[in-house]
Amino acid sequence: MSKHKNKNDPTEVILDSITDGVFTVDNDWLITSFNRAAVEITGVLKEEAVGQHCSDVFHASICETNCAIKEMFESRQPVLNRAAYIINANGDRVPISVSAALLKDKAGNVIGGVETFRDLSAVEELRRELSKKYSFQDIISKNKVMLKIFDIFPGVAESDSTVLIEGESGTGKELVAHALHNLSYRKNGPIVTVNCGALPDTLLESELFGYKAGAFTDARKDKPGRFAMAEGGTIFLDEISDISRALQVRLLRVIQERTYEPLGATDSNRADVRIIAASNRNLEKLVKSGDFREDLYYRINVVSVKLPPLRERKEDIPLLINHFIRRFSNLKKKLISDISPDALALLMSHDYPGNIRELENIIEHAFVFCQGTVINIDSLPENIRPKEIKPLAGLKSMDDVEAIFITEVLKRNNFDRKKTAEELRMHKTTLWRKMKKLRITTPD
Amino acid sequence: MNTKVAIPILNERVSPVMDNACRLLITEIVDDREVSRTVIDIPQANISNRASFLAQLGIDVLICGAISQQFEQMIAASGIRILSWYCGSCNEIIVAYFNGTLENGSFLSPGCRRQQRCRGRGRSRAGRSGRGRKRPFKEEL
Repeated sequence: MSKHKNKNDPTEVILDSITDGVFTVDNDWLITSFNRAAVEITGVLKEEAVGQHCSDVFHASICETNCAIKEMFESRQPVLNRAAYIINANGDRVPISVSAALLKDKAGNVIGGVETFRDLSAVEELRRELSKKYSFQDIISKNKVMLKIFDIFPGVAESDSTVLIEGESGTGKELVAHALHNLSYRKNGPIVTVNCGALPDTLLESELFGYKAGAFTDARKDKPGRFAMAEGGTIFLDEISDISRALQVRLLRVIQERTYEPLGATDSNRADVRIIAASNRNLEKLVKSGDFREDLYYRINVVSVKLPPLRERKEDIPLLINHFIRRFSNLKKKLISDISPDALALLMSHDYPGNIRELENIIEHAFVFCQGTVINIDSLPENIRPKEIKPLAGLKSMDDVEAIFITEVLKRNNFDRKKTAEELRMHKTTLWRKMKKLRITTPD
Repeated sequence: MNTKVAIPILNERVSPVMDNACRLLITEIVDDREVSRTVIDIPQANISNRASFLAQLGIDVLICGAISQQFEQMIAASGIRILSWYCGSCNEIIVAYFNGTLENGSFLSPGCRRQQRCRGRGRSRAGRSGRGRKRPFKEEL
């Protein structure tokens, strides 16, 4: 265990060949050896670690209150597989499991302890992917609006009130819903997600409330609905703005009376379910235009969380990029650790109509095409790479310039004239007139 | 001029991980003289609530050990200057901070020196800020 061991020392060779981090301490808690895997997991070099107090090197969540070595010294018993996280040299939280055992000399005197730890990042990432057990810690932001949301988060989670999450597509509404559920007292119950926009109205009704055998031609046996599946937990109604007026009435009744009837049933079922709804459209505007019932809006808008689009929280882009690089490194087993400054600058200048989901897809795309350990511009999708500026020489008038500009915005909005007009801040009739005048045609 | 410096503390040393530190030493300096020193408990809550708690204490500078990026950014958003990845005796670190020698590297956590984020933050901030730093700390701690 001494620091004078040479590279050919068999013990050191063995320790360096295993994939778990291992370090040893003397009776004063000073590190006496630090293997190769420990260097990789903590980011601390062996020369820097040896001779230091173990908590100053290990930086584990258990160092202060639940130290494995302390417990082992006191109980004289080994400690096995204690869950913890360390803060590595990059400031990332790395989930680990820790075991500790006593070291004794030939006479049986305790001369220190050995601590082994395993990096569980990949396991944790896979577990999260499978279970969708996202927590509050998974929401990454330093944006002031988001920080205010973080402040109210625990209170909202504990309240059991109905919550409305508003935000553009890809802003993380589902992640927030899962995090709210996992912070609430219902966390041991199920969370059931229903995408209201993905199902036709008649199907959505039976999907939500279930049906009894014989309710319609093909209903041969009872089928529980999503409300029944979410009993004791949370139901997440995504894209709630897409449900019909008729279904809005039924949903209103569930929220008001906490009861519902499956199709074909004569009795009501009680619903012990927390409702979290989300919309990518402004429900208040839909109420004003008569497309969404006002009474339902006020019922679901007990607590409202408005998630800002990514273009309004660009300071989060580097944080999110780092997060996705770590995540895909674990999931795809590809050693990519960073992004080049010019690629980062390009990603900072992008507007992200698809928000965080778009950024996630861009990084996933880069993981496929990146050849080295750093993502550069060539690995990014072509549509966000800088376009070649076409020479203006061929253009004869301002009309030509205007035509090119409008065509570009149309393409960007998938030739949706309404969205294009909104982006150009002009009325859609004005846009149509200009398109006609400039002879701009669309694929349809 | 008042300055409040806070250090998470564990057995008279800087607590190894700020994210779940239990106690905070707060020293208040008025015109280069330490006028008070208190130790308070940090609520065991999520990092957002912990960041809000720290923001309410009126701290100017936080000297701490390892800290996750997310927590660090939340604290920094409330205007607290953070000198992170330090280790050692709290008393010695406070003296070094006011003598302007904190940045000489001897209190940096192992592994930190290789990180540009630590170099940029710890050294330049400590070096650039002014008042009283280069003068000896008047009160023996």
